Amino acid sequence: MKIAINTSGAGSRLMYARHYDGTLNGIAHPRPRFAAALAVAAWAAIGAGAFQKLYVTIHFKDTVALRAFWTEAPFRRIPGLRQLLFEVEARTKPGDRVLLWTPHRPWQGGYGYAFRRAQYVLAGRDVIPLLDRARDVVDERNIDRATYIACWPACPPIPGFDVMWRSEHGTLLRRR
Amino acid sequence: MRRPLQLIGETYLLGSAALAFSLMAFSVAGIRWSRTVVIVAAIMILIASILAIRRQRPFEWPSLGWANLIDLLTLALIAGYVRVTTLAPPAEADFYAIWGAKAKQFFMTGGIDWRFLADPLNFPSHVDYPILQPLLYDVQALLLGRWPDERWLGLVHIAASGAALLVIRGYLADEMPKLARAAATLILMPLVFSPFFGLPEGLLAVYGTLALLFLRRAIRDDDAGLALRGAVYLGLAASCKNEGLSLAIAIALALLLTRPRFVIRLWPALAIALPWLLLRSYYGLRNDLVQEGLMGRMTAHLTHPGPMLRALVEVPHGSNLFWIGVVLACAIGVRRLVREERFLALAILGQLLFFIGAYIVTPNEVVWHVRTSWERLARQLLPAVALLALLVTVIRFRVGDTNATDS
Repeated sequence: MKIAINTSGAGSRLMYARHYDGTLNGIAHPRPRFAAALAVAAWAAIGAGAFQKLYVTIHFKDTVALRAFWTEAPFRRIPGLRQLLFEVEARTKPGDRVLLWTPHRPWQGGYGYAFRRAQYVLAGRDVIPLLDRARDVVDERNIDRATYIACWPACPPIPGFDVMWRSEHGTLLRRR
Repeated sequence: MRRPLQLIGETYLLGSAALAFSLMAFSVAGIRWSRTVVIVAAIMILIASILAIRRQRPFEWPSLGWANLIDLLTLALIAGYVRVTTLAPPAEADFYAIWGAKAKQFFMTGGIDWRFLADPLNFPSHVDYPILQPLLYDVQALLLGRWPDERWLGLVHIAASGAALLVIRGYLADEMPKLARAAATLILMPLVFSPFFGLPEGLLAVYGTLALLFLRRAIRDDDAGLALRGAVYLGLAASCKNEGLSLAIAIALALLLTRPRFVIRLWPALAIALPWLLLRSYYGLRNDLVQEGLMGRMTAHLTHPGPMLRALVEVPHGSNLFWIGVVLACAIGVRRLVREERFLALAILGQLLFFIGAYIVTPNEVVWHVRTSWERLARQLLPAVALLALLVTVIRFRVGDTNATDS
């Protein structure tokens, strides 16, 4: 059966689709072959440009190494931070008040990097910053609010707290 | 006649969003989230969906043909995407600082944590942004009964993108022959499935593209039902990110310029977006772009636009080949673009201008802001841009004369 098509032209609105052969050559135009070739070229360019090689090559990659790399990537600027935070998550419970101690300064591009990640991993706990974000200085009053202190890479001596857990990635202190 | 694959796609997209919004309603009503509460809500939404589906026309089952061999390539790419997204947790910093942080905090506290959102310490986490994506993560976590391994949060993105591709495929059945729509589906796959897994750009692209498509056809066919569907998807786009809200304005402006009486039909979009807008106003959740000094920043960036424009040019915009194809397609179909696709083109252009407007008023260092966001923002529009290019270069069938089955 012939298929009627509606062309975009304002003149003849109906024509028989003698150009349409079930392929992309069916693209309509007053000069069908040339226009269709251009249209196919446009589609091919859009398709090639949109194509993501990774969706094919992923099946041939070393996914174990890739998984390790991608898992660490969001924490890469502070090696060991990810392990520290997950250890702290396992050793504390929702509602606990955990202060994050790292030596990075200032907040923007420094301490904030660690603090935002700690907020995610330790969600449900009250994650307390060491720095006052507005003034960008250490606020030691925040230590008084904490029941735990998670330190990267290690804690300085802090009166009133005992070491609860320690590894190469950091230390967790608990209020006595 | 209805297309079952399109129906599956739309049922998932609308049903999952309804479930996420029910969490917001529970929170406002003071009901603590739990697995039981979500399951009850899911059953109610399922029953409503079945009742709605039963009242409609019969199915038009797809017929397979040689063109479907192209679909095997599309499926292979989707399999690759699934492998990539489920291989490891999201790598995007904003997942940890914004989207994942909110979702996990809400899950742990059993509801939307207004104290967390209102805390000035968390202002950089874009506390005013709509929360559909965090709520979708929470639905998954509640059904699972615990916070999932982050790599499985990718299921939310995979399901939404897959559902959207089914809907688009069904939509194209009325626009182009079978081989062409199979090729179009293959082309669109990497654009609809967002590489920014963990961020709401993918969901926004999905809902925004469907809104544009249904509204485009509503204008063309003067169909109030399609306008309603488009407006619902627009409301969902506006519930993903503030850029979704700007898309709603861009679409309203495009309608004003092309078919003004359709603007009023966008009311469902407002109805869907309004609860969050009211809640964020009630809790005083501020937006960083409009903080003090707006006029000064605007003046400074407009009088010295050089750094911003240079950064816009320098940041990757996707493959050059893609844009060459788009320009070529628009050149071939320029008459159709101007006469028939004005709405789609104007809406896309309007949204691009909103993106640039955000840079003009940004309180951040503008070059840094452009470099860290432009590629992501541009990607929100790529499915719509590609569809515009494909639609202006292809014949349109007279539906009555064709058996436009999709498969």
